[in-house]
Amino acid sequence: MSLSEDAATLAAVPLFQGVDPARLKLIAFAAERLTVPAGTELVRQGEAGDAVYVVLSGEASAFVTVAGGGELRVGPVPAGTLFGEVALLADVPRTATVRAEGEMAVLRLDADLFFDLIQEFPAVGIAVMRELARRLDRSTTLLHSR
Amino acid sequence: MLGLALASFPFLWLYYEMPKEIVALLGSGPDQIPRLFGIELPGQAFGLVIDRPLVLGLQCLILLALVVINLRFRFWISRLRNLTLERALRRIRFQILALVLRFPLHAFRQRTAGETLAAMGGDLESLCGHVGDTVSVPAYQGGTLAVIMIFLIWQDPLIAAAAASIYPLSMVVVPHLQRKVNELSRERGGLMRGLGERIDETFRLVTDIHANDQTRWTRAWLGAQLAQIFRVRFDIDQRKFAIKAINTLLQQTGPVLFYGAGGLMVLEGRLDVGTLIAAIAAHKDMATPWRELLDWYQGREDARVKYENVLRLFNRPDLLPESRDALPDEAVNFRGQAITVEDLVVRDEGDATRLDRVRLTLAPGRLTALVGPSGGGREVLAQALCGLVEPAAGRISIAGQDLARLPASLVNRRIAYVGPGSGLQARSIADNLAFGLQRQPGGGGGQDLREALLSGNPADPIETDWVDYAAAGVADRESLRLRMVELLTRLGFGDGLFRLGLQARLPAGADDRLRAGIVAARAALAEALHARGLRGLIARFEDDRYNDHATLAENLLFGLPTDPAIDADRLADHPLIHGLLERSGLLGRLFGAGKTIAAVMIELFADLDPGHEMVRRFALVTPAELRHLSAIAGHPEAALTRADRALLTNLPFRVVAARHRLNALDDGLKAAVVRARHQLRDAWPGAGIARFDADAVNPAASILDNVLFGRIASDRAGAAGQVPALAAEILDGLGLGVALRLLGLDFEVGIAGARLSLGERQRISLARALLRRPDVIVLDDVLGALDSTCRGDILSILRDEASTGVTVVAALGDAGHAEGFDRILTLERGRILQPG
Repeated sequence: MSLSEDAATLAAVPLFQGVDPARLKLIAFAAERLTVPAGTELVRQGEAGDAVYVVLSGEASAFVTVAGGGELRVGPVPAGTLFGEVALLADVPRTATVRAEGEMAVLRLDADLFFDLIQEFPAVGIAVMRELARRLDRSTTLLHSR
Repeated sequence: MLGLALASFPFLWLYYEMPKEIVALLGSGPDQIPRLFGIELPGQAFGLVIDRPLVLGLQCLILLALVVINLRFRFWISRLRNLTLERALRRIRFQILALVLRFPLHAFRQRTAGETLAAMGGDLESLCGHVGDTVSVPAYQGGTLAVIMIFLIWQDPLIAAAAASIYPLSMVVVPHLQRKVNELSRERGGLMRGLGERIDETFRLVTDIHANDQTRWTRAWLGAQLAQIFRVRFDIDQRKFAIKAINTLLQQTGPVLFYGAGGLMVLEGRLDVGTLIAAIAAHKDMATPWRELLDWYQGREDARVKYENVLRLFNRPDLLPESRDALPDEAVNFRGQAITVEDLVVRDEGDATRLDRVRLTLAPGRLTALVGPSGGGREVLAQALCGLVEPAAGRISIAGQDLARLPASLVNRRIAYVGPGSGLQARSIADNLAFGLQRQPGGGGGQDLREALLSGNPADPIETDWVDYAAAGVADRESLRLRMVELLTRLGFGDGLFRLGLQARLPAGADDRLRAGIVAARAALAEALHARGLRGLIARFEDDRYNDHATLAENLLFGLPTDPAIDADRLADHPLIHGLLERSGLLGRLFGAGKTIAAVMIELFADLDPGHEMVRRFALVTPAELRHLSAIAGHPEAALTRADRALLTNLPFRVVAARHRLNALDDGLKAAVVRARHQLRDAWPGAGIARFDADAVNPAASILDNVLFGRIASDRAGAAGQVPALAAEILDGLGLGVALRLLGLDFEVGIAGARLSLGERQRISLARALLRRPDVIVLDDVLGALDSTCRGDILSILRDEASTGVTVVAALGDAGHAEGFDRILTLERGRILQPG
């Protein structure tokens, strides 16, 4: 996989819509591209967060451990999703476990890079905010409908 | 030196005499008998007719010989002078440092290293410069002056008196001025030390200066000191010139006196003109030695002031008594003995009472905690128990012996202290652990010991093995190292040591078992990964394949450079490799790839400042290179300089294909690199490159890399964590755990142990104390810096030690940490609150 292809994949990610293509290439270059075999846990609930991930291809699922000790699937993590940012932004342990459903490709942005990007390129910061706001909206809607 | 100077005078006289002899010879008639130094020469000798040309030749030879002899004398005198000077400098410097070691501990709260350094520097050097001249200058110049005076008295006592009449005047005026200069010199010494102190403080507090935004004030503060130094120095310079000027004035008024008084006498017919001229000439000759003597006097006064300054600074009234080095077989035994503290009073330098009539008995084999508020006395009591602070009254005794009366070197051998000030030296972990065991130099070694003794320096050679193995209860170096590993493992540093061992390279003298073990671990790791279906986590080095997870340089060399002349990032600059790349046609391909890489770098980082943090962290090129690449980006190829082409050609060497994903390295290039690899090995199989060999350990790679025999596939999730863990597990399983920890002992800890964490440093300090098997262990505010697991480990070790009769005392900042101690004493305002 080349840098240009990764950048093209990033351009298709809703999160990075509106971010300059040259920036996307820089993000793709500075990040680590990982291939993830099925069943791999990318983040584990309760562990300290050191990176955020962008799903380039494939799909994962998010799980939370419930009081009884069982695992509850809270939702899919499809291609084009950014995840893991909550632990970094709020400085809390991972709130969920993310496990690859099939073989995946992800970009791993370590904490320093993630914060550098937000500071250096406002468009990325706004994209992250938009994603968080969208999720908050979803949760609120979910609460209302209950 | 005086003898040497005197011995040289006859030869000097002969040297001045020779031209006269030659002139006399030339002026003599052919029939005169040739003379040499007034002696008539025989007409014939050794079958040779002695005529004038022969004598002339002889005289010239003598003159030449005299030149050489005089030069030899000058050489000897200056050698002797330099030796005296340098020995004096070495001696005084060492004496100062030896005095510093005798300072009471509280003195280090007032004195700084910078101050000491300032005193040891320029001042001392000029002082010692004068030491070299103490005898030679007054002897030589004074002698010359005396000769001229005698000559003058010979001519006419009256004129001699007139010539000498100037000197008493300058002998009164000059010292008067010099006194003022001395005073200023004294002030200058103080100011220079003040500067040293301020520099010291700036270094120490540099974080605080920036954090509190005090750089501007600090600049002014440093500048203020320089201003004062400037004022004093300028003043000294001016006054020194004034002294010289007055002297010159007196000197030059001399002839006026001669012309006046002498002239009058000539007119009256009491003196002939020739004598007057001779007297004036002689007086002129007096000027040089007199000036030299004056310089010498100024230098002497300067040196005296500096010496007094240094003496006052270091020869404190409260120096500790000169400690006697205890002999190794001289031993006291405190094990199983109670410590009695009787009415102990300790005062600090401000006369404030830190301990107030403390009475206490510490039973052997027990753990005692000293708690209480900071400054309440727990720290002072802990230090007093080790003899580190001197009691103002009362005494501490162990086994009936007064601690203060025993030689400190003997006491500190049996009592171990670890405190907040304990630190590490910039040496290896093993050297730091052996710090308490360096008792006396081993046999052999030691160069220039005679010179050391002549300079009053220690004759202990530093290169020999100082470690007292018996004190640690071991027979030799190997068993001591094993004990170090065992101790550190018990202190919870075993895993850390193992990790350091993994990062270490195999030393040249490593034994074959370890070598074989590493190669076996390599195979075992490959097998284990295969069994788990994780083979892809490591991209192994294969002789006929390009490794996408290694740099292009590693792929070309198929190894790591060991010759410093081979720079992996600039391989194309190496003449041999350059030739090979040229022949194989790779040079052009690399240049092309370099252009692609440069273009991508410029595109990616174009909008950022080249000095930006992200460039530094992520770009393949340095900020300076990026700047340069941007500058030459638009140039046509023909306009590129040789250096530009070399930069571009060298760029691909640092690329890791799988990580950087630049598309700059195509399959054709990779195949060509593998071919060039084989050519390089055939052409240049020898030294300079440690090649990857599946059956041997690579001395240039770390142990971990050797076990991997490849690169971790950075694009596989979790590989970076999983692979090293598995490798460590396998090495441990093969029984190499101890061997690797032993390698970890050789890790260089950096200045003040900066390359280790605080906890690791504390563990090493503790292990250092335990290693020498003391009878009493005193821990001063050490446990608080450790995490609770480690505290528990240490407590259990202390408990084990106590069961063998060791007395343990720990001053604790947090009373909560006192859990598990046999006895807890609370100190407040210098007194024990609750006798436990």
